[in-house]
Amino acid sequence: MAPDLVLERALAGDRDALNALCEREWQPVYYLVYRHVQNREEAQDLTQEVFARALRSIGRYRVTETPFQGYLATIARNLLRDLWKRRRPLSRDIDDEPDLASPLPGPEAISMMSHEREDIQRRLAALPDDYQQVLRLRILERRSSEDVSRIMRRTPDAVRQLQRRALLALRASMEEVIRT
Amino acid sequence: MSEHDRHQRSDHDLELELDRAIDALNDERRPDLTLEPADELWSALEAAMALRSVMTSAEPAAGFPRDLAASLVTDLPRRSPNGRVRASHAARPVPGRSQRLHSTFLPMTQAIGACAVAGMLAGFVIGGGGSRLAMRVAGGLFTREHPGVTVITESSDRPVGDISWAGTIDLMMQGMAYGLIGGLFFFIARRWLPRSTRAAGLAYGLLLFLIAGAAIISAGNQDFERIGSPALNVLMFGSLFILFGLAVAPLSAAIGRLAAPSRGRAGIARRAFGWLLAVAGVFGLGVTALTVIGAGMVPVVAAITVGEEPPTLEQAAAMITLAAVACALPLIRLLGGAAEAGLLGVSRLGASRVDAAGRWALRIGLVGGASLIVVQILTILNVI
Repeated sequence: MAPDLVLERALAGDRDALNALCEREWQPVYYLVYRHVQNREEAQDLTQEVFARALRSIGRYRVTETPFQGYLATIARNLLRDLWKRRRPLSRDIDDEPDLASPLPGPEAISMMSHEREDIQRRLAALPDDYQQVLRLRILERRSSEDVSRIMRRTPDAVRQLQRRALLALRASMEEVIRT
Repeated sequence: MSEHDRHQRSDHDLELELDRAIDALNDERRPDLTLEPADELWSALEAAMALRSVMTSAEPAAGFPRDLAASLVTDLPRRSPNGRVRASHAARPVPGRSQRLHSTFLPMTQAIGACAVAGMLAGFVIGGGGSRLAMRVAGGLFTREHPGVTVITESSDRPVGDISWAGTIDLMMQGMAYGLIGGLFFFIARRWLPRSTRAAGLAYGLLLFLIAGAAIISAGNQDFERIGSPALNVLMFGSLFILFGLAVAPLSAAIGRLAAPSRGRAGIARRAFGWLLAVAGVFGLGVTALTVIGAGMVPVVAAITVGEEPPTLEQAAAMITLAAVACALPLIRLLGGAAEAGLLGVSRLGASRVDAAGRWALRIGLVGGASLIVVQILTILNVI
């Protein structure tokens, strides 16, 4: 494997090289993590944790002789696995995530993600109308519950109750697929 | 409350919690769950996250790669003297909040304790003993140049050359007290000093001289001009700051190493020493805070009650700048540590910004302090 000069210079304490390394590698890690945590703040923190772990265990990376991107991807998957173990079993398997050998997802990964998206949209469309409406307004359009309560002409408490039921219904629909 | 009401209440709490979590996700924040993570709450939240995944991922904050690089500087592997990267430790799972609290604040208070003890030792020997030696040299020069002349010193109200054990011990105790403050300030500034212990010590000595030098080397103290050589006096007392820095850096590192965990009986002793250091750290911080507040209050109270001359505008500006920096730096340092451990709900990238704020506070303190000491030295040397 050809030596990664940017990485070597970053490890030697060259700040410019460290900047270049982060600039080169952050995207695949950030977007992988974002897909699982679905918020910018946590995705940024976890991306940083992935890089920090990679730098702290750089000795082990050298033995594996994999590209640095692959090494980062492995750490990201392990980190997400640890994170979800502390929460609850994840409906989506982290090991099924597209590989991060390249900075951008390949055709197979894009097709898999697009299939997943279509599947979720199909399941959303199969929910009762008021469930669909509350989820579209509250989650896809990111409106506040007060806004949603005005649009749907329900009290905020009623919207929150509807939202919970709608999400549990969507979740149950997703679990059916996992069981089958 | 009936069973039905309780059930209703818990459903209502869960719905509110879920609603807040969705608000957080909509604002691209981490949902901070306060309820026990009940299965139902997680199920609903996971469904919300799955639904969000049909949308395009949010871009990170502007300048994210640069902030990421800045926050990683301390994670670069250390190298052994032969230039090889030292054996690394395995990646650990993300610790829980109480674990983070334990793994952050105990080492932090231990590090504060190590710096406080190192500062007191260095202050006792270098601050106290060193200044006694410098006074002896200045007094010796004076009595050689002016045989038979008796002059009462301003600092101790005793004749020049009259050295007593009580006076020396008093000086060393004062050195220890100043050393405590110097040690604590070293803990605060260490983050922004060079990595190597020796270079950090030298840099800290210079920093301390520029920031706090005017507290000792003062044109208001006539002894600097009339006893011995003014230039030699400035050099001797100025070098004490550098020597203090050079001593406190390796001493604090050595004391900190004594508390490093190990196995067996030595491990128990080290753990006990670690706790003692942590107590010393908290105690040192408390004493210093009270001293600083007291020292700040005395001139104010004196000016009001005794009717003493209030400070000039320049003096007041310099005092306010230094006081602001003295208050801001520990706060920034502690906030930075807590943020890094994720204890404040602030991201580690936020910690890098806190870090940058600390660096700026230090620069402001440096400029304010340096302008004071330069004026003092030029006045003592009769240049202005």
